[in-house]
Amino acid sequence: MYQGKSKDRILIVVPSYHEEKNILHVIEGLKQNVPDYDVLIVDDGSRDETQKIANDKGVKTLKHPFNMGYGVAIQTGYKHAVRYDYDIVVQFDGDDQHDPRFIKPIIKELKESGADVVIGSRFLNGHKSNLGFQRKIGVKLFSWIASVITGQKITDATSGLQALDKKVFRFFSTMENFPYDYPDADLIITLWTHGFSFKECPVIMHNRMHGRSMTSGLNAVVYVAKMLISILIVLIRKRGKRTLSREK
Amino acid sequence: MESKDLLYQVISILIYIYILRLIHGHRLRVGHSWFLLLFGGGFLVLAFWPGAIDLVVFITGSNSLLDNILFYCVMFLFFIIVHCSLMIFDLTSRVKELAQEVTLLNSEIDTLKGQT
Repeated sequence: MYQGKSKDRILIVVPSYHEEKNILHVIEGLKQNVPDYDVLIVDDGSRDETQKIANDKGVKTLKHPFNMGYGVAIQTGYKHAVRYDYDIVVQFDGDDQHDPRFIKPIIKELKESGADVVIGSRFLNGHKSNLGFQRKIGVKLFSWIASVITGQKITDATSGLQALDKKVFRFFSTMENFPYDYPDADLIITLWTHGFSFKECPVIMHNRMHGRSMTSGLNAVVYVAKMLISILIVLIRKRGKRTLSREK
Repeated sequence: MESKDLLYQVISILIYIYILRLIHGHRLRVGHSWFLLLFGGGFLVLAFWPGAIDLVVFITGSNSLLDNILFYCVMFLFFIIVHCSLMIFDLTSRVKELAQEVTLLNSEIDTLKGQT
């Protein structure tokens, strides 16, 4: 069983790129639902007002000097969490697709289940998602692949809404091969190859109101090809062993 | 000596001089320098020693000279690609680490500025 401190320090990492139209709503949702948690916007080199809007709302922001990718932004958030000794990190996308009401249930699941990572799934317990057909096929495909490889049923391998225990984000913060662009199914398999445990928790996600998804249009084809190769590479790479005991 | 042999010799000499100039001008690291000197030297030997290619063919037991040359050229190019890939990975990682460190430090500076 998890035996954390009575008051865990929780950081919500929000990677963002050109989200000036969405970030305000994201911040307001977080402040309303999880006012006790620290929020960190990691701006991946946006050339719009994303950082300014976040700063004006009094939210801590980090800004990359140039665009490096969603994965790098998340890893920067992990490095910040390690530097400032946080106990739990919640990844929460800056495109306003994630629902902040599910942050507390995910953290509760992390603490009670003893898992190292809890992933918010749009498809758990028969939940229906409002994803387009193309994206749904992609999610199902990679969830199936991840399930076969890990031997554990995974229903949403591409979910960016996750809660991570300290030893996981500490491990990821120093990982040289952390994916630059899409840390999705390949990262779940990396968790498995390194002995970390993970669970899913039902969540609801919404369609983005503004802007384009990074996996829209032709990018979706590129995403599928890259992810398949990435999964193969992860399986070939050297594996590591981690203790399953939780840090106190 | 045929004109094509003369051409091969001139080209191999020019390539070797170019490599030496790069090394002399501090344009190459040690690891790359010895590698290029070795292969440049190999081309010089092949160009100036008429029996070198026959010896290589004899050692490998192949009947076709062109097959041998093509094979070694392809292996050489493959080695170059692998080497460059390693370099690119190393440099990309370092740039990423530096950029992330700059990001975190800028944030700490802003925090300190806010406190003063």
